[in-house]
Amino acid sequence: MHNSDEFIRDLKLKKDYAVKNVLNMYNKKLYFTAYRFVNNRESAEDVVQEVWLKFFKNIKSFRSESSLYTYLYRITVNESLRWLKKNKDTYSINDNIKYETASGKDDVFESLAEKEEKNAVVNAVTKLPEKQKSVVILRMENRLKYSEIAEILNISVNNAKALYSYAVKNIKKYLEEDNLL
Amino acid sequence: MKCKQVQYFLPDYIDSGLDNEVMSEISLHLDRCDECKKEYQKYFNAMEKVKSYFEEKPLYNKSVEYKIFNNIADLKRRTLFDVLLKPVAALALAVMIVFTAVKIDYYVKKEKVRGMVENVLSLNSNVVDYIVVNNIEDINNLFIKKYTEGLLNEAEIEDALYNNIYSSLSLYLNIKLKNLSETDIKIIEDILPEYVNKYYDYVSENYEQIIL
Repeated sequence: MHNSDEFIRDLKLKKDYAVKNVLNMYNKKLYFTAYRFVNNRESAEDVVQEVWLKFFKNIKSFRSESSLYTYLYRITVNESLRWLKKNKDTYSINDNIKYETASGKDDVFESLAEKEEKNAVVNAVTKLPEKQKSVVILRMENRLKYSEIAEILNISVNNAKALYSYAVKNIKKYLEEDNLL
Repeated sequence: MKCKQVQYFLPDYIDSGLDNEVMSEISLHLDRCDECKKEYQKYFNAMEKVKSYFEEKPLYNKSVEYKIFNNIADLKRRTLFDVLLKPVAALALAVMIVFTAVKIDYYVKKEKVRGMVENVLSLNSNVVDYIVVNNIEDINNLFIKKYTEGLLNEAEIEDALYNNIYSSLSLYLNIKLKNLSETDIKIIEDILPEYVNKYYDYVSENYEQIIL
């Protein structure tokens, strides 16, 4: 429904209702996606703000035939990876990423072992090479089909599947190294 | 299917990403191969942990949407500025720069010409002589008229003397300064009255003395 020509036209004109609508539809999803890359709520919010600014600055070149969410996810993945590159000096995976209590619930009741396990999983996903990480996040966080992932990352469907397969092997290897399997 | 092949396909098997035929072949193999079953279990456990990590969502701050909405509104205003006002502002600035440049250029030229004119027309006897010698009859007649007719036509007489001096100085400058451009002539027209006034005063005050 949001890909109707009229809606896209209004979005290009940045009409209030269209902007509100698209934010309401996608902001949360994009924020979750960015969060999986940067592992920090504040940074994820920054990334998503940048995503929207880029989206609205370049919206004239947006072709209605490519679907809106594909386009938005593509910008989000690119911006997240850009953020990681920019902050690679201050953001080190060996530096024990502080895993934020994602649900916001008090984590006092979580055992040390549970926390360690979570850290290990975050570390495992973080350590993956860029493309593998992108595929895993789009697949696990956004539950997208390989064809959609392929379109977002501008790769073939087979390539997307292969990347996912390598990612799973790597994750298993990393968790094994942490004695978690 | 051999163990090596089965283990190669395990990640896809867990993701149910294989043909039905291959899926059931691997299932059969896992039922009877402990080693592969153990390996499968590891993959399964690993992906369960990843799944539960992804199921737990970070806190979402809805108010961020308003912040972004306002940013977009700013962007819209800026776009309007870019499209409508920026070109106008740029044009105005360009006009201003050109205008200022022309003005500065004119000012510089004017100072140069003024220097040239000052060299020639600074109050000196050569110029006075030139004025008087070339216009002796006219000046005589004017002063006679002034004295005979008195105050009656004073303004008219003063105008005539002024014009007389003006054309004398013009001619004198033309003789002394050569190759004047149109701009130079315009500038001279601008500053000449200052000199005409000086010589007018001088000639009026010293007429009798000069004539004598």
